[in-house]
Amino acid sequence: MALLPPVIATLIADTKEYQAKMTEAQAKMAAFGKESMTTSEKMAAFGSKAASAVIGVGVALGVYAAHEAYKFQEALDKVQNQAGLTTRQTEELGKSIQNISNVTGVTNEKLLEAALITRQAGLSAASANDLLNASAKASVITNSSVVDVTKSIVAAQTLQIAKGMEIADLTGVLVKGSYAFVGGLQAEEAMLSGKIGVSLAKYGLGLKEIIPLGAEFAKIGLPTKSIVAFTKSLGLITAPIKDAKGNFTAYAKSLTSLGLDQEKLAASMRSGDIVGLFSQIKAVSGGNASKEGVLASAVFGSAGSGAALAILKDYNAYLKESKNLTGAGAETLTSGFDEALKQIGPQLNVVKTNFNNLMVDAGKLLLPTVAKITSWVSSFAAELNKNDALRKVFGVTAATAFVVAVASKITKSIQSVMGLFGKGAGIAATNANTAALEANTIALGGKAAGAGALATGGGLLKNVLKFIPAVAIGAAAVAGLEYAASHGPKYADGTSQRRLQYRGLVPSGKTTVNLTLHSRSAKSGR
Amino acid sequence: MAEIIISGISDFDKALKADIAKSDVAARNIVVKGAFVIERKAKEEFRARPSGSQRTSKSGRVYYQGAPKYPAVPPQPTQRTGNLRNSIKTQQIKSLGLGRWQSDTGPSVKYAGFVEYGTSRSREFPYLTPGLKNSSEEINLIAQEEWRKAQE
Repeated sequence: MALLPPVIATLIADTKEYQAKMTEAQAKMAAFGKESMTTSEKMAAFGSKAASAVIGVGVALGVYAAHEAYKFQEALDKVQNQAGLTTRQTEELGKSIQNISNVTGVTNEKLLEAALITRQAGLSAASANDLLNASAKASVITNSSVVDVTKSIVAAQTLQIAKGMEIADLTGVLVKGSYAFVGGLQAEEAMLSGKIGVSLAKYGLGLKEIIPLGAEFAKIGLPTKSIVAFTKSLGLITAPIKDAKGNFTAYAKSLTSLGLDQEKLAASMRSGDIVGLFSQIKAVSGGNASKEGVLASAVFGSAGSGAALAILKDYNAYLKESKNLTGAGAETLTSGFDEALKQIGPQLNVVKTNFNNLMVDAGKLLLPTVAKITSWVSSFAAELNKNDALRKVFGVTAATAFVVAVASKITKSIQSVMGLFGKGAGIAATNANTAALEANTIALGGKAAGAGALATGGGLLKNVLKFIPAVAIGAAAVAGLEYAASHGPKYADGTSQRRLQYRGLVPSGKTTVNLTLHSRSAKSGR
Repeated sequence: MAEIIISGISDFDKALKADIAKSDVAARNIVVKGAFVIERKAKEEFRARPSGSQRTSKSGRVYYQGAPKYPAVPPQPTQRTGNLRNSIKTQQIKSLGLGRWQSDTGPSVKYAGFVEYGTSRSREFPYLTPGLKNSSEEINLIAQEEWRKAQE
């Protein structure tokens, strides 16, 4: 019997590139530690406890920055994949989201979720940007989710109930409408994108007519079934008043007998004047509740009369809501947002998102895809110097994080980088006297920073390890995971090999996986 | 002159080392689980034994009938006794160094190569080649999952 080749599939998982990157990072950190040790030796008079706390914050934030940047990039990648965006479009989206986040204080994550909705709805980049901006502002005003607001706007546009309206105007109307809507903007969104919105839109009603109606229904928690029956009954009003023989229909006759004119009602209906429609009924009833019931049944049928009566009974409030919306628009949004920003909560959110976006930018340094360190250095320093709030609250911690982040990339640039802060910045510590530490840290970040650093340092130090995997993921994005499968051993007798290759994605989403299949013919000569 | 004191380097270093160790574990898990996938997929390549093709004589000996009544359906191999199919197993798992692992999967019967590659008298009935091909997607998913776990 001829010698048979074994039939074996060999699978090799090889993380050597990843390992190499990690080892490289280890070496860098070791070198960095060595350098700082030399520096610390020079400061023999100073102790280490408080300084450790400060730098603990630094390390934590440095790694936190990488974590944030990775999270942001990952979320952007998801949007890119799900909405089919190009790399350039994704980068632009990322920038505009950070800008909106900086202004409104809405987090990048929420904005990215909203961005996905806009792109999936088929909006262009410019329209999507306007919509996100308006949604973010509206969410601040109404204290609701930016995702819900975005859904509302998309729903309004899809249903064509906001014909000819600019996004800012439309959002202004939604915001104003939400003030009188039980359940707020979220309930308003649910109404607009649900059965009720669709049914009312079917009869050509606009946003400003639908919202007051929805608000009235929401007040008494009217079931959707009744509301849909009401909307269906609107079709009766616009039906022809005469049949094929030229005689008045039974519906028209019944209205006439009650003192209503179907033609006038239909005219109001066709022009979207629902208020006018109800005012005619109200006028004929003369304020008599039982007559209102009879009229409602006659006009809207027995199924639709329940919802109609809800409006007739609370007619004044309905009228007020309708009038309120008449003047609503972009101005409502702007003024509402300005007002909201005067409050401490939204202001703090803005500071937080500004800081977070700085961290995202800082973290990009730790991700291997970003190499433009010089431009970032300048903008970071400028931002920190010009932004009082940031400098006071996060001055030291941010600056320290910055140093650590930069150090892991370009250790030797620390001194020139620190010069950008315009001061002989220093972080030092005395063994027992924390006041000395404060005095030194104030030089870099102001008084609040010195105290803040001391207060938060220890806690954040504990979180260092928690964030380290994020750095690892950053490294993995470059290194990736490589594995190959070979079918059969390699032969020395020169027998030909058949090769089959597969390509796929590894977790980083950026590295190619090659599965290689080797095999050869048996000795039988095939 | 700016003075910076850095601490926490050793913690950071430890974490990096731990991460390297975790990626080693991930590499091992990938090849181990991947080997099982290849084994399963290779076995799935076999056509089930045709009904009625297995007969037992009065003496108790079991016969398996082939063509013409129960012909093969090339290129898919047909299970007769099931020896070849049942012999497909993960044969070894070994480390090739830190972060590098290898697993070997295949049949152990002597005629395995004849079936897989064919002979001068018979065409090939590959089972490991398509089995491996069909495994790639699942192996990718395993790799992603293991990698994710390693990063947690």
